[in-house]
Amino acid sequence: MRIVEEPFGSGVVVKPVGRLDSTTAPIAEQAIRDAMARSGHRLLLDMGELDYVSSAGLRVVLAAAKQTSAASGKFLVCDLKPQVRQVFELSGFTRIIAIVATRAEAEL
Amino acid sequence: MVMAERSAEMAAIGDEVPILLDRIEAEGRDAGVPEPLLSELRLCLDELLVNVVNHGMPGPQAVVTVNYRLGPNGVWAEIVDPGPPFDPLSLPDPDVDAPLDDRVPGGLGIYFVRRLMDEVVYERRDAFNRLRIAKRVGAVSPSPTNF
Repeated sequence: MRIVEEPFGSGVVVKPVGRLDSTTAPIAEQAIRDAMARSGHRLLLDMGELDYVSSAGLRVVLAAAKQTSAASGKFLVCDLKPQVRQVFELSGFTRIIAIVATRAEAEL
Repeated sequence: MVMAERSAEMAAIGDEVPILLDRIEAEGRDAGVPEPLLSELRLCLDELLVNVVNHGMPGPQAVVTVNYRLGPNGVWAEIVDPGPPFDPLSLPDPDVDAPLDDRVPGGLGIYFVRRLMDEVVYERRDAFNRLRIAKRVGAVSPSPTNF
């Protein structure tokens, strides 16, 4: 997995590319934690090139959502591919995490 | 038609899991497993194998075996591990309707397996844990001899 990161609005966008599973989750977790610290907890997670996520990856997403909420920041997820959307729906994450269709619709 | 059974082994190390899954996924594609089912199979095996590796294997030298059958009409797989007796199906389902503040990590992997597969069976036999999963594609009249 590769992670692309760039400034976005008043925060930062983090884009994991490839697969977010138990072997790559620690890398994503560190990248998200660093990005949150630098952006004042204003983060867009762009899933447009994420092909696969498992529960180990969802753990990272849940932690980011909880941390931004606790810090009164903002956390958005965009552009879910079919497998990622299915897993988000099964786990109930579509009800607890703000999801927008594309990066263009995200505001930080 | 009875699908040929194949078998793969891996050391009980987390990094081995995606390597094994890549292999099974490629074989499934060649065998004509529909892509949505292949994706679900990968997720379920991933969750179960990571559980096995992370919880209760005697050590990284221990071997986990996956027996599987893949075809256009469905998939079947059995994970066999020599860890201490543990039935992952005994775990309670996570509360997927809880609000963000009340959500706790954990339990989602097995929940996905329960939700996505038609059959999930645990058995302890001969000092091995055996977890079997199966799913058919649009089976109008399921024939047990296929699996």
